[in-house]
This record gives sequence, structure tokens and C-alpha cells, in this order.
Amino acid sequence: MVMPMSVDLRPKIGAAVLLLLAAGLAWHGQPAPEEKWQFIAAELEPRLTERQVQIDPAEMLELMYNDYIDLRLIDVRNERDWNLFHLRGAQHIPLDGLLEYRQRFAKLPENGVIVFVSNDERDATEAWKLVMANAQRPNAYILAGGLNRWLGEYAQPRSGAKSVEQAGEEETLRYPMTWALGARHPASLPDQHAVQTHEFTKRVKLQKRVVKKGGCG
Amino acid sequence: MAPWDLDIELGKIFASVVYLLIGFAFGFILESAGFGDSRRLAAQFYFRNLAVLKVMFTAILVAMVAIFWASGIGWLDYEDVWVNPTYLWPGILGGLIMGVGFVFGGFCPGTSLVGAATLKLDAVWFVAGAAVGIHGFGETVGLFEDFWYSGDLGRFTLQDWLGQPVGMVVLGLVVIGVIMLWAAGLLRRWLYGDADER
Repeated sequence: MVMPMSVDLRPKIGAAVLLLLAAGLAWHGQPAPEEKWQFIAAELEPRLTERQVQIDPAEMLELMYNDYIDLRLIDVRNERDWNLFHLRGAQHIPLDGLLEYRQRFAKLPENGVIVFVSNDERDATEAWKLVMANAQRPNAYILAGGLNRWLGEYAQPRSGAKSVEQAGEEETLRYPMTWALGARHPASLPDQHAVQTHEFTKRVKLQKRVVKKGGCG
Repeated sequence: MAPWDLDIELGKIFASVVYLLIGFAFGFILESAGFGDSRRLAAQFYFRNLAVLKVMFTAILVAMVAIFWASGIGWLDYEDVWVNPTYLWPGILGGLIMGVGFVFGGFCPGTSLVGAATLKLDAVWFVAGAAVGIHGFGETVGLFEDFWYSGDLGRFTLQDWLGQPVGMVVLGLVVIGVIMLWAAGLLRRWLYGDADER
């Protein structure tokens, strides 16, 4: 015999389901910033493998002299290498502190371009992945070949950097510096008209910012 | 991964159809829940009718759990979900103005549109007043711009404030919400007995 229900149990059942789902969420947690890349890898990995986001040093030099572009050079190397040499106008943000700046990356204006720089490409690529997965996908690029290639193209023999690349592990500065010149090194902003240039494929495209707003009044 | 930019994914025309359908569903639910009736909306402030409280907070809690579950399993990029930037001091003042206006007028801006859609006169006047207020604000905001942008915290959410994992914050809010809805029901019964909500 079925007993008539005098109390509507639906709100209680709904509340219990919601509480269970919330408890499950607390147990499951959110993906760590490093893990978020796997969710967007299928979409963005081709940009890396097809080298659509690695910009040639010559294009980078053009960007550094382009007054229209709001260029944000983010150098993710360690402090020692930063002190030895860095590009003029660069900001030093090591990989582990990168996401503290994610709001700033996300608020980039339409003419804003971020370029991640490391000694080679590995760490800059890690920085690119981290920011793309955690900061609303700003218009970000990677310096192709890193600063080792940059110095190979723009360092002069008498500038404190030897013009010949030394052997060394990946992501080490393979151009030994005599002094820690930082951005006073002549190669930190070479004279655009005095350096030899070469053909390159332009990668940087300005993004049209889609204004996303919402809310309920 | 969501959120998708429907204008690009579907084209502007089909995206507009989707927006229209979502707007229709939203308005339909609000009207069905009684959000178009100012007397019912105002009654919540006297704990006489808790429909608004129940519907609104249930929707907030369900949406919150759904959003963070979707984010947790990689279906939604939460960083790409629009969150109103926090301007603390104007936010507090604006909240006070809106709360007082809600009690006096019986509507918030969204529900006044719901009421106006069914040609309720008080809602139509409320919308007209809001339009005048919006125009007046737009013309004078330059005079108090420093205050308007004061207390800028950017994208600032409860988990940023509390420094706790998202899941724990969501669980805490669901527990608080369920207790609040239960307690509000008790309070209503204590004040008005088992009389129908009106």
C-alpha cells in the first residue's frame, strides 16, 4: 500500500543533489594552470607545430621600432641571464610568476602584442602555453630561436658578446658575456638600418578585440 | 571548449536566432516565476513571498555548480567567461541605490522589462524612469569620474578574496544557500503562518 505523501520532497531532493554535486566538485577540484593546456591543445598545438606564432628576429626588430604596436616583451629566463643581457623594453617575469600578470595580459589593447623570450624556444613556448590556457588567449608570440639566435644575428664582436655561439645545453645563454650589461648591450636594440636583414614571413597579426560583457540589471 | 563566439561559429544571423531563443527562454522563466509582478517582487523584502529568493538563488547555485564542474572537466574556459570588474566603492553605493530602488519601485531593471513586456503600467513607468536615469548618468558621469573608477580590483571573485580552492568556495556557498532558503521558509511561516504566499 502506497502512503500518501503530505510533504513535498522535491525541494529536499533538489537541495541534496546540489549539495552532492558541490561536494563532488570540492573533491575533484579545478585543473592546475599547467594542466589546462591539455584542454585546448588540440586547437592550439597546430599553431606551434606549423610555426605560426614563432616570429623571426627580423620581424621582432621591426616590431621594436614600430610606434603603433604596443609591444610587451616578456623575458622568462632566470635572473642571472637577464642581468647579463636582455632586450630593451623587456620585462623580466620568470615562468613561475607569469600567471600573476594574467589580468594584464588579458587586458591587452587591440594594438597589443606579447612576445615571450627565452634563451632558446623551450621556456618561451612553455610561457606561451601557460598564458594561452589561463589568460583569455592574448595576441602572443614566441621569439624564434630565442636570444641565442638573436645574438647570433645582431651581436657584434666588440660588443661584449662573442660572435661565435658556444656549445651548451638547451636554454642556456650560449654567447658568453664579459659583463652584465643587461639592456645596455648594443644588441639589446640594434640599429634597424645598420643591421643586415633577410627575407622572413610575417607572423604578427593584430587581433580584433571582441568586447565581452554581460550581467543582469 | 566553451565559451564559443557564436557570431563566428554560426554567423551573425544564426547567432542572433540563438540569442533570441535564449532571451525568450529567460523571459519566459522569469514571467512564469512571477518576476513580472512588482507586488510579488516587493513581498520578498517582507518575507511574505519567497518565490523570487528561491528562484534566483537556486538559479545562481545551480549555475555556479554547473560552471565550475564544466571548467573542472575541461568543457569551459572559465578565464574566458565575462566577470564584471570590481570597482569596490561605486559598487557599494550602486548596490545601495539599486536595493532601495528595488524596494520602492518593486522592480530591478531586468524584471521591469519582464513586467513591461506584459504591459504592466508600473513596469512601463519604471522602465521609463530607468531610461531617464541612465541618460542622466551618462551625461554626468564625467563629473565624478574619479569616484566611478575608485576601488578598482579588476576581475575579483570570491575565491580570490578568500584564497581558497574554487571547489571549497562553491561547496561553502551551496551549504550557506541551502541553509538560507530553509531558514527563510521558517521565518515566513513564523511571521505569516501557513497562509498562501502572495
